[in-house]
Amino acid sequence: MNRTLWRYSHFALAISSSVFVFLAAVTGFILAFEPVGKQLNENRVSGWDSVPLKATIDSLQSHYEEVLTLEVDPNGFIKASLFDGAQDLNGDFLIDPRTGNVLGEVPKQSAFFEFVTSLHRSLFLETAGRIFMGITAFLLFLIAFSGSILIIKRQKGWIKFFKRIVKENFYQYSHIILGRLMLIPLLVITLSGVFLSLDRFEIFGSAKDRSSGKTVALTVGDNDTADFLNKVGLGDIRSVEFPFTDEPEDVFVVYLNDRKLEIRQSDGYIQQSAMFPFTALVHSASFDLHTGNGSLLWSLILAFSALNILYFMYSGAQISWKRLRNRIGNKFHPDLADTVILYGSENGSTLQFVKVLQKAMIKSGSKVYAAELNDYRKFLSLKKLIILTSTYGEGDPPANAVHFFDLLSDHRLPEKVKTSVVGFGSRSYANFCKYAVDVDLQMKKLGARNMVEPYLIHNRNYASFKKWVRSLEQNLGTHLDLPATIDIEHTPEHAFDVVEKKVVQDRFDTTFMLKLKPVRKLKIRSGDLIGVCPPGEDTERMYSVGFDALGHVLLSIKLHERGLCSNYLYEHKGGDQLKGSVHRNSSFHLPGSKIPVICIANGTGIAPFMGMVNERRGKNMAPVQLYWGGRTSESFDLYRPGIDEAIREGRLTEVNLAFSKEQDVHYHYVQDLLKSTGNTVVAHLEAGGVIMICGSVTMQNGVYEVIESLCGTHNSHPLLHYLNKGQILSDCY
Amino acid sequence: MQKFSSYFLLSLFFLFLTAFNTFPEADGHVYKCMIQMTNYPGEGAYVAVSVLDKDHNYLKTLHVMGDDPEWQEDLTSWFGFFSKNEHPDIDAISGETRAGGERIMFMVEIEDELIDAGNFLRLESAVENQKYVEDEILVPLTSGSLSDKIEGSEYIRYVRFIPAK
Repeated sequence: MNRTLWRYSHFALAISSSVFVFLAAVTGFILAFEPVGKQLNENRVSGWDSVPLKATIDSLQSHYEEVLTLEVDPNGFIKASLFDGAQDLNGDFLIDPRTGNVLGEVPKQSAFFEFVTSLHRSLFLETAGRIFMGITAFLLFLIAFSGSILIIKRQKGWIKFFKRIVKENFYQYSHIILGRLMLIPLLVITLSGVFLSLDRFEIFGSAKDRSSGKTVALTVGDNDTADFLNKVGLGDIRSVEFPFTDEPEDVFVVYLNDRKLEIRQSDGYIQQSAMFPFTALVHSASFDLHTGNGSLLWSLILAFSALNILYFMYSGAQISWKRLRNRIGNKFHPDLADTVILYGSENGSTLQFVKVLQKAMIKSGSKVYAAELNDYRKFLSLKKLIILTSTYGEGDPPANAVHFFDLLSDHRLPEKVKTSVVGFGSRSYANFCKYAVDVDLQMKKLGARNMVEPYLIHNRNYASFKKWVRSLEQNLGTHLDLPATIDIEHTPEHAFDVVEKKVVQDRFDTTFMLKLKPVRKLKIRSGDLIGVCPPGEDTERMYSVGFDALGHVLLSIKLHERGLCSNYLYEHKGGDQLKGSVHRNSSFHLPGSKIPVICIANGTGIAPFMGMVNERRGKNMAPVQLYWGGRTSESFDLYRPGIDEAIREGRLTEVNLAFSKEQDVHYHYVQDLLKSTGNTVVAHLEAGGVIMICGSVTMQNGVYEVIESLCGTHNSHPLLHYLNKGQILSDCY
Repeated sequence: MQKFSSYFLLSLFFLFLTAFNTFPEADGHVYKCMIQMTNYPGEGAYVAVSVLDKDHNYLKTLHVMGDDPEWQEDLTSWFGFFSKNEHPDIDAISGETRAGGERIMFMVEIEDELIDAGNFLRLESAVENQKYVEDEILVPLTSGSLSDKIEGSEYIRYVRFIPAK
């Protein structure tokens, strides 16, 4: 079954059951607190579960004229049915299992909980309501099931079910993350709910009928059964019926979780043991799991699950709404259109761009038809084919593009058709816009000519999109009128106070460091990126983030004479404020504290490492070494105080510097430094150590070459082996 | 003024009513009662245990198994009596239900003057989505019947009484 169908099922099930699921979740949330309340009740006797049953029976029988039954509530209440004329007692009471003393009346279920229970169970409709709620539980089970299938499809296989999920859209991300987290509790809740309501209709036979199980008659004198009442604790029993008279034919009937025992009153021998039938066991397990009876922790998990169901409804509605809102309309018949825009989108975020482009091209006189990639067919008047597509997961087509390549081979492209492909994606994926690239290659293979080279856009950046449209205009020789802004989701921006700006100038460059403090608390780690957008521009520039010992965010920037963003940042001084977006970059975070790390950087690429050395505080930390290359020794002055402090405090074990423009140094580049260390780098890798590289791509390639050749000389695995194992991480630009 | 006095009279009337409607404490004996259910399938049975006079008019309710008024209604004959002559303390004499194969014990109080006086003991039963049995048990209320096993006809296998210690 394909993804679209699964998604449609997931959606249709959710919509059709929404009202009942909502009611069940709200009432379920409230009911989860009933056992919680019971467990915190004052009449609960601590240590009740280990009191021997015999002790309780004896104390009750010596205190009261008649004892009829004893019941154990797994939440820790012991209830006895007593009569004593002299003490004026008649009825059910909570007792202390050790002394037999009456602690109080049996609390009735509060009218409120009774009301909510009835609503949850049957909507006040008795049998019909129970059927409804049973179906609701089953639908919710199917929703959880289809949701899991969607996650498996998204992650490309169930093995990767719990692997990282890339965050593209908040609601979608949280829907998936919570969905994975709550899967087990949800399956338990729904299946037990289904069973409890089916059980009511005795489809599997009566669960209350405890008599049809296997009965074992035990012979008197069997030693294993002797003195049972003394050995069993109250925690293991559910209830006891006392003998009706003192006659020997009247016995104690003791109900355990899974069986019923008949015990002779004279000496405590088990005369007969009857297992409950399987359905009765499933029934009581379902009841305990569904209600949280007897477990404080599970009750709280149930409450949390109920809240989550409500959140799933909310986030699911948000996701669907976005999908529906972005429907595309057409003015021209597909066979009359000279321009066709095909789009591929998993969740509709690309459609905004399609709409804008379609409108602008129609205004400029083109006959435009827009459709999903899956709707590709023979277009009789086709001259220009424009494709806008995102990529799904690790390089697959998005849902509405999965059949495109098949359709392409069925309906050949007209000759001399001109194309242009735009890819949408996120640079935090390893296979950034992979599908768009594949589509472009396929187009070329089929003889299409590019109007504009394939254009890849990170994070739905509208300014980048406009740039592509400008190139398209030049190629077409027409003006395309685009709105100044469109309503798309950007990564939210956060404000930062500039604490300090430090500048270092040598005879070649000006570099500077900004110390920032987020105005509101943010979750950032060294190696994450902060995107800054100069005013009037739409293109973000990404900076790798470090921290100083006080926890300030450090940005290290080289001033480019014409660099819009570096100049914009350079204008800031202490006391100013600055806005930027935060991008998590978990593939470039410091590994666990037991793993030794070699950090290699040139120029401003040192920034993340300034922070990482501060992450290794405390005892028994694996060593961290730094290799850094710059032009002059002055250029290191910006970082020297922080690095020196890290060395003094032992967080940094070794620092090796190379200066390319100094005369009297041994090493000019980090590559040279690495070469000189001989087998230490190889030994480091073989011992499971990690190498992190940040700086220019040229430096990165140089470092790769050195490592490759070192590995060769020392007969180690090739570089690729360590790259694949994630022992060599890099963040270069 | 007239309105006030009518309220006054009305409340006096109720006070009077409740004063005489309380349990006759004197000359009563408490019995322990056990009901053993048959192995029928389905929900727990609602059962009313009552004393009837010689013309089968209800005199007293001894015990009701099942405390949900909605299902108590299914005990048709008893409920007809009960709804007209509200029992002052129905909560104290109603309790849990039992399903097939199970048994239950509870205490009942029977005045000596009711026994061996031509009265009857009736147990009527009703099970959800099944039937109502008016005369599950109908036997003369004698000291003999209170010391014997009394057989039921549908949902109840037997009932036993013994005087409390």
